Amino acid sequence: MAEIFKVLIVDDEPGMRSGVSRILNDFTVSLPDIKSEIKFQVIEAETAESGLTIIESQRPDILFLDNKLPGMSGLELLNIIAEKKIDILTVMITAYASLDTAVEATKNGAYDFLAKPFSPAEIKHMVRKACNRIVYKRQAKNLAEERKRVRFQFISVLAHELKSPLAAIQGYLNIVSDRVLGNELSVYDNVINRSLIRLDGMKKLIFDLLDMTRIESDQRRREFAQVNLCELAQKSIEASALIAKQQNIAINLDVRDDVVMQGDHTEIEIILNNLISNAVKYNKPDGKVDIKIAADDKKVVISVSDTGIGLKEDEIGKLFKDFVRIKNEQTRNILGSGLGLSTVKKLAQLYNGDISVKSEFTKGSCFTVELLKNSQEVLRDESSGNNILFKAD
Amino acid sequence: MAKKNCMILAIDDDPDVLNTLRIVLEANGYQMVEAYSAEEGLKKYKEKTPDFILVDMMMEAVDAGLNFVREIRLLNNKSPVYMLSSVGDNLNQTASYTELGLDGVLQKPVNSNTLLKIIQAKIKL
Repeated sequence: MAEIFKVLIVDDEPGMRSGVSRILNDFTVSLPDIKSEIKFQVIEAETAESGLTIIESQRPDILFLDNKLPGMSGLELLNIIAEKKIDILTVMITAYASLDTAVEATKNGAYDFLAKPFSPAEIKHMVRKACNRIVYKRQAKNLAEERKRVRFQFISVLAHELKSPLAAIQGYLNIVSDRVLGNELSVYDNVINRSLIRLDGMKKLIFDLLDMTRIESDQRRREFAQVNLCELAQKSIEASALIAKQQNIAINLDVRDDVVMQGDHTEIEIILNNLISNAVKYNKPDGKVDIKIAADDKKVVISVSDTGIGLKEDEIGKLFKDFVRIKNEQTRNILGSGLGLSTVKKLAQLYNGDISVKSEFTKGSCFTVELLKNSQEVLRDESSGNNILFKAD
Repeated sequence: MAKKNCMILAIDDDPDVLNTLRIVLEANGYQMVEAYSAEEGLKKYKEKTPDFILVDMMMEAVDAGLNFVREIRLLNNKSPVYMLSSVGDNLNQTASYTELGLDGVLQKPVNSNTLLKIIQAKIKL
């Protein structure tokens, strides 16, 4: 199916108008970016005044505009179009010698100009160019709208995630303030504890959010150095040790102490922290966490498996998106920002790698992250054009 | 109706919101049954036939709270239903509370005195 673009020709010479009409009526443009072909419906106007009426009532896509017209001139019409912010792509038709008019017109918003006399091939070429431009502008506009929508959605979810702990804490403080349970302070222990836990969760959310936005916006300066994965993993295990101990969860680390990669210390730490703390948080009492880090010449493979609550098939698909938390009876009391795994995925991609998961519901999950050992070198090769295997984005 | 026979169903996906409501309600002699989703809420409703219902508007699914209210009203039930909402959650403007079968909306965090007054007025002790 063809898409129809409306073309308005404003010229006081009838021969010119009918000529353009004839050429464009059987002309078809196909562009690589859109599936349908473009065909043209030509509308003719003899004066700028009648042209304006048509522009306002029929909203043509392309305007061929002569400058020398009886009454209002072409340039004057162009000014009105600019003032009224009408979205139309204008091509000025000028006499061969009047380059000044052409320059003036482009300053006032005309897309291009066509000098008289022109051949059918020239006008076809111009129309094709104009179509390209219109389609490109349309796509840019759609993209901008999509961005705005995504941003709005992100902020709405973020606001909800921040409001929930606030409401919970406020509710608890009101209980204490109203002495709902009497004057003895110790009866409020649980209420105060839960408030502190929710505050911690909120703090974690803010940290995670900052981590994630820094990674996404490239604002954080990445400092590449030799990273020892054994040392970093031990540090991450320590961070989760307290909760693991409370639940009697054993953490095993299987890694050679000389496994190293080129990376940013903080980034690799975020990856390990998220994987290990998840494996502990979503485990069961007396459970197990197995961390295996292996490497070959090219890449490092980190796999963290747990004996926890596991995931259902449909949950796996959405797991790596922002703010996704799997909500069910088992996860109800586990706090999380919903940003951890989406951040790990973004980080892994910075190292030309990715994250994957295998899971069995109620039995446990195994998360595997692959990172390229020398992702910086790959990037360098790429910019010098030697390597097309790992193309950025 | 004596207070202790009064059953209140509270539905919210946040355990601390439920905990707060439970503390306030039980300290004032009511019984509370809780549910973490609209689905669970409907089940509990059928089991316990509560005298008063509190339901969160924004649970996992955006419209879960409203859909719950619709379902409850389809059961031709007259129990008072109040919706819990937090700042910025706007009710679908095209539908009024009464059209939805709601008795009212309470802002989170719920003021305990307001809540207790409403419950008392609605279940006419």
